[in-house]
Amino acid sequence: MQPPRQNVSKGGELTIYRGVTRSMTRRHRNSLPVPDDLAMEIFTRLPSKAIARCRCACKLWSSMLRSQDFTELFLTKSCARPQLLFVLDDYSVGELVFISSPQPENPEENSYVVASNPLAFFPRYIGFYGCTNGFFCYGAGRNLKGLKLPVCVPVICNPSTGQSLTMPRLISKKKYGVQSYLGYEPMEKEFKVLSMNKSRTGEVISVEHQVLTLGTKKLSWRLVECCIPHRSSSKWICISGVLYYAASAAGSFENSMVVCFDLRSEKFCSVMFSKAMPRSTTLVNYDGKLGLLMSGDSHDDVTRATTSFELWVLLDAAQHEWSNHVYVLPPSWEDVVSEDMRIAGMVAVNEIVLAPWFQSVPSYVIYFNVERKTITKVGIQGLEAFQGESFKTYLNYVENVKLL
Amino acid sequence: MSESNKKISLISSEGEAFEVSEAVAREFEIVAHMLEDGCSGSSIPITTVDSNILGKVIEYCTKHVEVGNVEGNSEKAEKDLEEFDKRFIAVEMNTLFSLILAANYLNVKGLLNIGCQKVADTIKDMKPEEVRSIFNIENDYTPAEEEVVRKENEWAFQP
Repeated sequence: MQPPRQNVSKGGELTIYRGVTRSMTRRHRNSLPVPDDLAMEIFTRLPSKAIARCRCACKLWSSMLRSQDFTELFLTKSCARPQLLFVLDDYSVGELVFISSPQPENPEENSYVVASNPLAFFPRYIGFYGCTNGFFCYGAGRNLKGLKLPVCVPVICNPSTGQSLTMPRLISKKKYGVQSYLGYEPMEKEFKVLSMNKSRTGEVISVEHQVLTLGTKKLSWRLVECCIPHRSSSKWICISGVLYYAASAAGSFENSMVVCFDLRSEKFCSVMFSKAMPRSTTLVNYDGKLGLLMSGDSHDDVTRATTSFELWVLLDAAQHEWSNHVYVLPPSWEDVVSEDMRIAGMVAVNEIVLAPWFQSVPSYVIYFNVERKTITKVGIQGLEAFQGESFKTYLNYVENVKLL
Repeated sequence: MSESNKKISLISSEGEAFEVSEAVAREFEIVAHMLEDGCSGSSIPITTVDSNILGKVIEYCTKHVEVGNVEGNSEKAEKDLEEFDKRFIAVEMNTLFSLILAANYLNVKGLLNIGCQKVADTIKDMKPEEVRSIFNIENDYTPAEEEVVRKENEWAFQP
């Protein structure tokens, strides 16, 4: 930072002149009594709910808190303090409930409790997709004229602002088997939705691949060409402008490849994996690279009997080259784990986080530090009302207060 | 170092002189830059900060320099400093904003940080009406506009 203008007078005395910033010269009567950059600094320290309430205070605050400068600054800060996101996964409720909590980093041996924070909820959900850059993508039933049954369309929602946007109907005559992924392309700063249907005749493969760019005036789907016969799955992740999803080859029901969709060029490619991925497989961001994290020793699921985890990191997509890490669990695993767990993902490159399939009271997640070989149970307060419900746990959730 | 005993006078906007050690003056990054640039002045007028605020900023920096110099027992020292910061920043809104402006201008990062955080903590649980009253904000929404913006942010009003 440049020091303000200064002037050294002959007597060796200094006079510091007030550095007049542009934002100070013409002030709106509703501004905070500080320059805009300081007001931004203050506002980015607010939780998302408070930001929503402050947007209601006056027009100036509203426009400031909607500006791209502000939302980008907020996102940058949010990335420095990623959170855990719990999503109630219950079709019978028909409502998506989001709850976040601070994400403990390197929790100590003793259990560590973090308070949970209820976020927005969204109605009418029928399909479950996932999260990218603070936005969540799910499938909702939409009733259209002339159709008896609702059609499944993707909805993009933001748990931190309560906003949601229903996508137009897919380019398709089919009403079932929609799979959508939400990607973020950092160069153009664009969100794109990739959707596909499942063919209903012959071999079951993904068909009618189509893309929609968010932020355009009229949202519309564009078909994109895909020459890789595959069947998409609900396991996916977006890393640095590329959507990766686990897929099975035509005629097979086991995921044995990863399909990569470059969000900028909108081209597909695929990477073969050496074996069938176990059910527990979760796609993770391993230091900017794609990682496949799964239970070891040919176990399909993560249970008390699990003895290790395997991590396969994609080194070179063109060469189908993977590196393999095996993390053997310490004996304390058996003492801590009493039920079947899902792999939630990885924090940095040293913590594997696991969550139970169903919430019990007290709620918890388990951290396995692969370097220190420690198992830590981290209690989560505030989920008591959801006893027995099924939750999906997402790691590294960042709050994004950008409006759709 | 003999330098550390050197005294520097900081002159407030009213012309009042505050004599501080060089170590404390260096906490004002803007002053530190001047000293590094070879300025040998021993008297530095700070024309935009009044005596009341300048005195407080000096109090803050003095405390932080003192604690920084104590060796050992760092955990206790850190806690003490946290306590000090908490008490120090518990001031009314006008003073708080004056401190933020002074900290920004003099480039005292720690003070700027706790000042901004204090304002955010104050706003955090407020309703729009309370925010308006504390910052003297005129509600320029028409009732219809206000209804729209309220509806848009409805979820944030639920407990």
